[in-house]
Amino acid sequence: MSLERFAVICTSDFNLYNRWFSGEDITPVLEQRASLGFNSCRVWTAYRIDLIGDCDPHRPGFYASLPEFMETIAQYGLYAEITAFTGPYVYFPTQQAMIDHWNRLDDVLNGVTNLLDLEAINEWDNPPNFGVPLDQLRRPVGKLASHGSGAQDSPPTLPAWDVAGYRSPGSEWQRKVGHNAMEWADNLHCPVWTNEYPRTDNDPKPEHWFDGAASSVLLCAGAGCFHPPEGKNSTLFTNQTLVCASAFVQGAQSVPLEFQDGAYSRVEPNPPGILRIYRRTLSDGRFHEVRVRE
Amino acid sequence: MNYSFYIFPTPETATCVLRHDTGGWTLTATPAVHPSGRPGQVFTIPDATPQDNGAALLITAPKKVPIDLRGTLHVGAETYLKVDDFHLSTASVTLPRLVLNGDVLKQDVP
Repeated sequence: MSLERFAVICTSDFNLYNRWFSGEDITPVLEQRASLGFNSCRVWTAYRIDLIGDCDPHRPGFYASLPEFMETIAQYGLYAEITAFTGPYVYFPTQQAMIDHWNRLDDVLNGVTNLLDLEAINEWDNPPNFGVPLDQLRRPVGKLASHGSGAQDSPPTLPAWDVAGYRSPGSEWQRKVGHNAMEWADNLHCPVWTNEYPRTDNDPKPEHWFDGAASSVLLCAGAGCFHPPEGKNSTLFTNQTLVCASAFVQGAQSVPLEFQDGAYSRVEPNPPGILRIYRRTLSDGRFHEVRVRE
Repeated sequence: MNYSFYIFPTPETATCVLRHDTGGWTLTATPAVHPSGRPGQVFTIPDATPQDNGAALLITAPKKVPIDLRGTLHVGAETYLKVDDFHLSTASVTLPRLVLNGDVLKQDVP
């Protein structure tokens, strides 16, 4: 047995399980994500939301089929963050129905090795999510679990469990996705990553995606979660999304993971055009820097 | 007179099953040493087996992707399977479980 370094290089693929469970061929999507260099995807399990999809978890076989889906994506080297709740809630008339959903996901994912984490909720403090009984959900054992993410720049769901998700604000997001997630990791004493970036159609500059991913790998548990419009409904990336996705992965892979163990510092002053220079220095004096561009 | 059909799987302990389309038999190979001295496995093909008819060969072993082949089986002084169907088996991929390591994750590689 050995422990090998792993950085989260994830993409939104919210509707992926729903597509697969509905009988659609997701092979082209999986091939594309894997060939781009992603090692994980973020998948939702119960929703009816425009531009994402309609995923009814009450369909026969919905829970029992989840391990087979996980095995399918494992063929492409992909882990998955499985998210239980995201409002509005058309499929859970009561809190007990929500708890049942959570328990069934938790049960069925026992023994699945390519689970990144089982996440309770997407943005706990977003108004459609009020009423989810987060304090009544059992904490999973034997698998990594997240109590959930918050909305922009708010705390992850507390108390944090094994890992946690963060959202950066829009301004200077390309540095905050890593830096602010690192601060939460320091505060919560667990791995944290930004599990939903600003969307690519809101900022299509490839250098921002490169820098955001690179600084995140250096500063926290990984690049986090790339978030394009196509990731919402899990279709093929096209046009500028492809450019940004390539930049994101290249940025993530540009950082040698041994430097995650180094001491953090910020190098000043910032040269023109540079927002921040982040550095981690190992005990032997070697260091790695990421320059985050404006 | 039976015919000997030698194969040389790796690992040598792999389970090798040969099914003949028209001969009505399915055989499992047994450990054997080829007259050349090379260790492998042998199928003992029944004497009445029709010449150059279809046969399927499946080779499996723990933690290995199966090999699934089809062809025509020639019997005689030199017995061989002329393969023309190559079926790729689905690999069962198990990714290493992720574990906590301070503020980062690591793969727990067996």
